[in-house]
Amino acid sequence: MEQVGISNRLRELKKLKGKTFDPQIMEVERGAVRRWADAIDDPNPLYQDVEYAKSRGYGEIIAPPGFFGWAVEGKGFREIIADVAKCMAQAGYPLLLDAGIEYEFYIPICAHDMLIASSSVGDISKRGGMVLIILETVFLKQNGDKVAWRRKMLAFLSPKV
Amino acid sequence: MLYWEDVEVGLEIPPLPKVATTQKLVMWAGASGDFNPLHYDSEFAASQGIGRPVVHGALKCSWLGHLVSSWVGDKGKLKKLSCQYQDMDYPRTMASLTAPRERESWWCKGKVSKKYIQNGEHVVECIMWVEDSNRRKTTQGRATIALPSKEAEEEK
Repeated sequence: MEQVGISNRLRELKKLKGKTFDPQIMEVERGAVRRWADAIDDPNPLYQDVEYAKSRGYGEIIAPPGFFGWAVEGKGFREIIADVAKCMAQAGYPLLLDAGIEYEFYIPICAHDMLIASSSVGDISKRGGMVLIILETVFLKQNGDKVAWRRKMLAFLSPKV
Repeated sequence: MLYWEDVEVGLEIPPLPKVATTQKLVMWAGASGDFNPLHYDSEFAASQGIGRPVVHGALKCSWLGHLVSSWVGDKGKLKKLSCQYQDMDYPRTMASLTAPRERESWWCKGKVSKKYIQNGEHVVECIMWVEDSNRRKTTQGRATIALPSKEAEEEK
């Protein structure tokens, strides 16, 4: 019964492949950079001390790898995930976890940068007891320079797995 | 400063100790924007069949980002970073406002897997992982870094 449920849900979910979200403006604030560094216990002065960052050739403190400012995931994105989660819960896969992430970094991100994040849904597949959804995001500076690329893999699991 | 010439395949990255606490997970949720209640709400975590809150995968990925960026220093350039979250980790709970209970500890470790020159850049690839006190690897990662080169500096 559940298999029929998940097959139907998967067919529906796969229609999301290629869906793009409205670009989001991500503001890189000094305080947000420092809070990220504090949360991972990284004392690197490049993330905390403006004068030190300047002495190393940056105009401002820089962001640790993986930090792209706020809002982290924009309008539309959370709503889609909430809809997908509801759909997956009904099919017996209520548990949402991060399964993995990939980044490519092209140029440093500094405090006061305004980044534009454009996300889309990549592949959707069932692997063993889980359903995997790929989300890809490209981050640009306001002048159009490409800053980074991110590929995030979300997993929906059955509690029995 | 770490130069490309100082690195050989198989070289171990100096291990980095980490402790995940419920307090740190709340800080990470606020810093990263990941507000999945699985990471801070015991009742919700229990209802999902995983017992209690678990450490965010992305937090462990950022630990590995810390490991590699602190190793290469200011002149190294992290070009790629990836992680697969393979098993769950459970944070320490708090004994006081600032001190966690004595429970699990983690180590971030890694070693050099490749070394080459590409498009004029002196590149090193590493494999990395997060392991708990039972040496269980719960997260595996990879990084690609461009390092400064003594030879290239001398040529300038």
